[in-house]
Amino acid sequence: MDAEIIIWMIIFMGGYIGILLYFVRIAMKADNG
Amino acid sequence: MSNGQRDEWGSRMIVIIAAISMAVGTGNIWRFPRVAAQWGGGSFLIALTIALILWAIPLLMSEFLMGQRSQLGNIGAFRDFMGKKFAWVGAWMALVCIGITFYYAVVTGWSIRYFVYALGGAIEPGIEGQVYWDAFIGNPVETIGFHFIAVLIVFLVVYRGIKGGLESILRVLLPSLFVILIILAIRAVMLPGSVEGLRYLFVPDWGLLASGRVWLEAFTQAAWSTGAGWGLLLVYAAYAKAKEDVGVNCTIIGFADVLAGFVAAIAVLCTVYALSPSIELAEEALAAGNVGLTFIYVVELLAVMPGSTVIAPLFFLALSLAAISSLIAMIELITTNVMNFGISRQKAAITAGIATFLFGVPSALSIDFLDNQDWVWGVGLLISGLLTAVAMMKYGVDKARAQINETSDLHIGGWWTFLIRIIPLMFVVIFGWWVMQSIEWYPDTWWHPFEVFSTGTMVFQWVILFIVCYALNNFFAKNVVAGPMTKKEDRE
Repeated sequence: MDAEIIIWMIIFMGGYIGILLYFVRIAMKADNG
Repeated sequence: MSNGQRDEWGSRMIVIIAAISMAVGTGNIWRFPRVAAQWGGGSFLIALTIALILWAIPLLMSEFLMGQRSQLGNIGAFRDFMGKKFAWVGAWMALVCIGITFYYAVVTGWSIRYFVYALGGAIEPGIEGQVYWDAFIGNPVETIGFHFIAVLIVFLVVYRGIKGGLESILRVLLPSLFVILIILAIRAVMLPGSVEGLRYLFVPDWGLLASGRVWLEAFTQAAWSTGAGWGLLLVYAAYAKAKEDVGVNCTIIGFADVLAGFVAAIAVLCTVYALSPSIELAEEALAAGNVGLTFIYVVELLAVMPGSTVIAPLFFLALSLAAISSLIAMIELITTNVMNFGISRQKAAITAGIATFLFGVPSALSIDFLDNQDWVWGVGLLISGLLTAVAMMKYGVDKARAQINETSDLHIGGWWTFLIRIIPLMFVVIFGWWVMQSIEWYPDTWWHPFEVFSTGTMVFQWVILFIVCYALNNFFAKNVVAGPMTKKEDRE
């Protein structure tokens, strides 16, 4: 698999997963008080 | 709902799970991969992310606020947010979604049927996807039978209510769907030649970012896929706690929906590019539309895939679960709006189930009828999105933002009010493009009200719906039960 594909995959998938985890963390933090 | 028997989601996590289940539907599996590959892969994903932030998430927040504050379905929520002269707006939104529900139940039936085919080992090397599809779709006993099964499954969930039905099912259904999609994606990536699928999905074709079509496809996908403007989140939010967060929850819902699309796209595109004899044939499959890609090309490709006896049933199980999870939200929308006329959940669910089955039968019998309804109400959703933004403006965008911030774990800034105010402008561009496209595609028949695809048939059916909703406005305003926001004068 060439590097270009891996880089873009990491940017998009990583970006979306990162954003989701960030907001889920805020939600969990708020729920815990 | 306001009669002391209020059903309520048990926790914040289940609110988020239910809303993601609503948003993740067949479109994530059969539309997103196709559109992403056709419109520049990474370029499309960039445009989609921007559309998600500009259009979908602000509208999801608006819907959530309306449902949570009013604790009513669409008709009551619009009455309470806009005043008694505007109950018809909520009825329009609900009926557009109900128009989709009728044929979506049929599509759910197709998915279940193909899952059964796959489970029985029918998807094997040598299968001719088109012949198989034609035989199925030409058999009314099967199409109506599986439409009935789809409605029955969902009815049994909705009948049992939020806590006893939706919560217990969606809690299992959504994680199962994600796990299956991840298994399918991993298997597809392991196929020799799958790298082309990843290239078409992720690597941007920068030139295409200058194309208006890519942006319009991205905005349309964001609107349809996340459920923004459908009115479904409004109904789910009606059962949320008064202190339930709006901002963070809606952001999670929007991003999780697109992420589900990414995983499905890896599974579908890697399979299509790895197993198609040539790139041209792979592109032909992707150009075959939602039905052609899923029920004809993917069937033939899965049949020759190593491990197809497991993978083919899993693919159609994922499609069925995605369809069922969205259909639950749709039938819940009908049920909640009927309940708001003072009818019990059980009777309302029975009404919703019978109506969905009966009015879905024409779509089960005629694919032209189904295509027509998909065309008319699919584009109608954009109008519902516009009406949601208009409701916010009538209510007071700054007031709405202040109320969102009362319960939000993240401060929602002035950007939200700005975006809500420019949604009408975005609507004019997207909607205008759709109308122009329909005229371009069907230059001789675009005006005809009885064509399957035409501007004429869209406008004709929308006008009928508008007249009905507007004529019944006073009836709706007076007879929908009062919620915590209802002013006495709005029910007189």
